[in-house]
Amino acid sequence: MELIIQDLVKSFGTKQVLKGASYTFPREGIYGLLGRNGAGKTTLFNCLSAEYPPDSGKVELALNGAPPRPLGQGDIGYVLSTPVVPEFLTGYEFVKFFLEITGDPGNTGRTPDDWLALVGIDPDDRHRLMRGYSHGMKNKVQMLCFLIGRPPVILLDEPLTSFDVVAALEMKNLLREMKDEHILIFSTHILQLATDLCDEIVVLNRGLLEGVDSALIHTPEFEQRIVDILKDEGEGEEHG
Amino acid sequence: MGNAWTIFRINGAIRGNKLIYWVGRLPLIRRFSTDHLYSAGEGKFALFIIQNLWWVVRAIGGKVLYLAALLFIVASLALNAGAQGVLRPDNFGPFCWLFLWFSFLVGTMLQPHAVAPSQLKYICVRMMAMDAWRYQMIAGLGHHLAELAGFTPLLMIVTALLGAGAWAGLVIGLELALVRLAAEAVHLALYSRTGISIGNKVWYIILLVVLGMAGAFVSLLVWPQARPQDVLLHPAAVAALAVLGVLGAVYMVRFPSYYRLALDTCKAENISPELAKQKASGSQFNDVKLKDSDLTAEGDSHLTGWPYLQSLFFHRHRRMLYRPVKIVLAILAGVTVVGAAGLLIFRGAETESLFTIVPLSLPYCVFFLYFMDNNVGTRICKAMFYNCDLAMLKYPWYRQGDVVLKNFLLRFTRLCAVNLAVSGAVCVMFTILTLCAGGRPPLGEYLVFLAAILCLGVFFAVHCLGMYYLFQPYTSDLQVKNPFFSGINLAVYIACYACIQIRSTPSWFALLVLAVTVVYSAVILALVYRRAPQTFRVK
Repeated sequence: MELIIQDLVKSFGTKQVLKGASYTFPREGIYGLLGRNGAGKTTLFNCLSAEYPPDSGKVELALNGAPPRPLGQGDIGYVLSTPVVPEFLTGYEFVKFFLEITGDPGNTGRTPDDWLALVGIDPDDRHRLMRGYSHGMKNKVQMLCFLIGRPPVILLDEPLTSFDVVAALEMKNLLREMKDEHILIFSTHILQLATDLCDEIVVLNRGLLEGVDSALIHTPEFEQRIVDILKDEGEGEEHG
Repeated sequence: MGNAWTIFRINGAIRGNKLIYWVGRLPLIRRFSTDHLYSAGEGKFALFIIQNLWWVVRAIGGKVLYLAALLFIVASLALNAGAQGVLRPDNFGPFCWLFLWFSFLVGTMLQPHAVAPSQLKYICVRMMAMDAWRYQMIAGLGHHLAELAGFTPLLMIVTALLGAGAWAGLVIGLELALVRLAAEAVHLALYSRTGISIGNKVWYIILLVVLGMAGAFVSLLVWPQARPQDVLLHPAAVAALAVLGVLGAVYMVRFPSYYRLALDTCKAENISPELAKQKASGSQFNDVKLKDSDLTAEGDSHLTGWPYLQSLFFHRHRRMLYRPVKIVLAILAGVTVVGAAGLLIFRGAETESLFTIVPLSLPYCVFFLYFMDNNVGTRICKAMFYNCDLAMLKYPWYRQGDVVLKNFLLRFTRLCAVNLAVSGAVCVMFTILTLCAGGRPPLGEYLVFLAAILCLGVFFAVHCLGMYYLFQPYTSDLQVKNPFFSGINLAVYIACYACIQIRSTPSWFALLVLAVTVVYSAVILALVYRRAPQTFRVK
């Protein structure tokens, strides 16, 4: 599987946020997207998920050795940093409904209870309205949509920052389990989290995407390299 | 002096930035980036001067309008019968009455400076940790001096024009400043005793305004010939007010809890216009917020997928959708039974002829059904957005074209059923009453009348839901941002209201209603089919 981003441009008013960002995510795995505050990580995700269309550029997906094709319906799953779920439903009702509309694409044969158990939602909580769910529980339900729907590409915007330590570990394990079948791109400010979880790191720098040598990820120089890149951007903006 | 200059500069930056922000939003100018102006240091200070000059012009303009309004009220009450003209010495007494109630009472007690929340106070005291007492002394002094300097010359002109001499205006202006100080002290003392600042409570503002208006007009009506100026300008009154003012000022200077007061009154949602707007916008959804008791309802267990979701939604919103309809159906049933019984007892030529022309009541049916269906429809669309679509539209699969249309049809069917229940009940009511009254309307005309009533039910379902899907007027921070949505809704209201203004209903009116509802519904449905997959988004 390959996700190819080519010359993505997006502006808001006179401010150009993405300035021709290009990058190829060459295989399934977890990719960390790093960038300073306001670098455009959420904008990039919004463009990839068709939340807003880019001004120019294209995004293509190549599946199972087939030639690249434009992204289509159901190719992208987007986990928002602030999870949103229809609060008038219980967790069980939402998962049941979602299984019915997607038809269980993975043919797992799992019931709503099985899925909810998979992400660690207790039986008592499954039949409670989601408006009473904690942030972490809502995020798990949101993640379930992508576990069930199995979109090839999953975008996660700051997915672990609001979890407690237990929920964060559960979620990390979940992502690791999913990584063999999906391209998971997650944005974060936390460098340690990126090095801990990601197979590769991509930096969004001055509106452009830049890969970081994956051999460096677990070396002492890695942190300095990332800081140099991001500092360079900050200084460039200050002077520019 | 350092603090005063800091406050002055911060105020300058706030006002300068506001000006740049608004200038940057003007249609032609917004094409060019005005962001760099925010860093324009001294240049921005020049903007602040301009903004301040504008503020002075606006403040003085407001006071001129206020005084002119008082003079106009005095003249229009014509308390001195036969006398003509606004600027006559006779009017000075009534003017003083109004000024006493409106300015001395309402104006000073409404929201004194010390307890009023302000962005400047928030920034200086809460964010920059400036000493709250020092801030209040400097800002309060500036405020009261500005008010004194702004009001007194105008009062002097008015009293001179009324023949009382400019000195009277000078005295009244000084007295007003003294009363303001006393009012500040009253509010501070109240806060000190109770811990509550009543200055921004809605009930207090309403009470004060009503009291002021009632006091002014009762005074004018009961004592039209009284001369309040004799008391107001009496040296004893001036001395008494001077004592009150000085006591107020001393209390203000000695007040120890300005910091606590700033924490209590200057909260982010009172200061940030965006947050305040958001809070106000959020409150428009209060009527569609779900209660715990709503959420116990189960959906239809035999349904799956999208019908299951919509079934759960409608069951859990039954309080908003079905309850008002049930009440109306019960009222219609009551009217039908009582009306039928009455008509059977008092049946005669008059009832017969009245019910022979029953189709002429269609204009009233249009307005009744608009009132009923539109209320329910608008409310349920708001609930759809707030409780369901606001979250669901974040998921790409919910925004897919075929899903949008599928859900539209499911919702349309439910809303139509509800509207048709009301329309059907109206049809049954008219039919039973007509039969009981012995009315003999032409059959063809009567059938068109019934068809029009039924079509109206469909029309309002299409209208409410179609407008929601085509214009989706709400933003993610719950504001209504679509002039077309409001405009078309207003046009439909005007059209329905115009119906009940028709003096003699033409015989072809039912056909017209039928044709309009069918054509409008068809157009909206076609538009929804073509456009909703693109327009049904959270802005």
